[in-house]
Amino acid sequence: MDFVTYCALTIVFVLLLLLVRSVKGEFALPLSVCLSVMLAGVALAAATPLIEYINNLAKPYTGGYLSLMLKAVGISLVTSTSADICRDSGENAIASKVELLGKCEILALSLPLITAMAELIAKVLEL
Amino acid sequence: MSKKYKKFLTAVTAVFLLLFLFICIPSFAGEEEALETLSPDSYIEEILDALPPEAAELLPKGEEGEAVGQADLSYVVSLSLTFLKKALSSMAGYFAFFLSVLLLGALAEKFERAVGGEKGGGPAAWVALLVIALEAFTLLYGLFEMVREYAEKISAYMLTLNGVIASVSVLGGGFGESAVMTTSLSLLVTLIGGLISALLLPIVRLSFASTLSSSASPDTNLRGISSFARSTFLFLIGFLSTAAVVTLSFQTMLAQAEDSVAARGIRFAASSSIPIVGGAVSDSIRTLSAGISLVKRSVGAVGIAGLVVMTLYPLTSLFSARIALSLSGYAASILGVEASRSLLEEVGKLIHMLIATVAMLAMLYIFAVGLFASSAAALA
Repeated sequence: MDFVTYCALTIVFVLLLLLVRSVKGEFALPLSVCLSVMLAGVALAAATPLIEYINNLAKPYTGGYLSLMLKAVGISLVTSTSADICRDSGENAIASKVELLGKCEILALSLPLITAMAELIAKVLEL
Repeated sequence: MSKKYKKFLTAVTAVFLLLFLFICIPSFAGEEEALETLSPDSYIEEILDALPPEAAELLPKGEEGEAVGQADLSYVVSLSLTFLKKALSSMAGYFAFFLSVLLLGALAEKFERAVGGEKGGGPAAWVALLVIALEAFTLLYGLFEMVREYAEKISAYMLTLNGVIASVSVLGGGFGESAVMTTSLSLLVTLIGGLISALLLPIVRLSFASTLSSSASPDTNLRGISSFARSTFLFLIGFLSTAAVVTLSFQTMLAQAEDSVAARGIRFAASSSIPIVGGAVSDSIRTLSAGISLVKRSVGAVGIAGLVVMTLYPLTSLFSARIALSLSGYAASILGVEASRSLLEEVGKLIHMLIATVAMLAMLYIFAVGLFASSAAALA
């Protein structure tokens, strides 16, 4: 399926969602969540060639930082999707907590980077 | 005159001639020994030994005389192309890595802006910036170590030339010139060491700190400090190299004037005070000076070839890193990752400073070798 088809299907599903919300409000949220997850999956599938290209481009020249970056981007994507779903449901407090969780997860992931940076600073000061 | 007296006089003259021959042969032999020790091969070997092994391997192979003769323009061009090929592949590698991290960082920033509004990138974008900063500063540190090593090699090489200059100049009668040249070369070596430790190091540390803090916190803009430090450094090295070149030129002109007088004095004394063979000794000084000028031309060529093989690699590495960082900076501005763009630009400016340092060191060395090669004219 191409990009225009995906956009057209998204508009159709949103219209269906509005219809379902007006008839049976309680089914609107699960439908919205399914639609969000499906679209995120399609976006990831569309980005896979890009990610593979980036990986092949930089793999010979990097020491593991690229996989760290990819994990950080993945965590960011999942966090933003979850936070949006929470906000759509009217749960702003939960949305902000999900964002906080995502940030902590990314910071924990970047600990090796911070350690490497501290070591480099020490090396420069020893010059 | 009777036959007896004629025979007696002939015998005495023959004895005296034989005695003079016995006196002359050792002095001729000594001159030949002196000429042999002044042959190009011994000095070239000494200077080639002073080259670092990786640089010596790149010189043309063969007998020292042939090797020196082959160190011409086509050799330099082929060596430059070899280094350029290596530099291009490393440049492509660095650019590929920075581009991939910038792409991922731009993606992360878009996601986080969608969540957090237009406040700016969140932790994922910050991780991307951290990865770029780490890789850029590791590259800069490696290049700085390479420049420091280059300065040490140039200093060691110039100290070797110092000994050669002193002995060749003294043997050729260049007493004043020898003292001036050795003092000047020692001064240059001290200048190089002081430049690296007293100027370059503190500025690299200062620029590193200000760039890192400005990148970590966009509200803290300390780039003005590093920009001022860099421009001061570039001004200082320009001033020091000009002053060194002017001072050496004046000293060499005076020394050459002294040596031509000293050489003429020696020739006159030799021809007038040493009987029969004085003229031959005076003539041999001309041969000596021709030999010295040949040695100096030969050593000069080896000096230049040694400089080329030692200097091309750091220069091509620095240029390739500079180009890679500039291209990555343009890519960052296209992708809208402003923090990474300014970081890459700042690191590129620091590499520019290292390029200026290497160029200045090479220029000082070429000047020293040029003076050495041209000082033979004073004895002609």
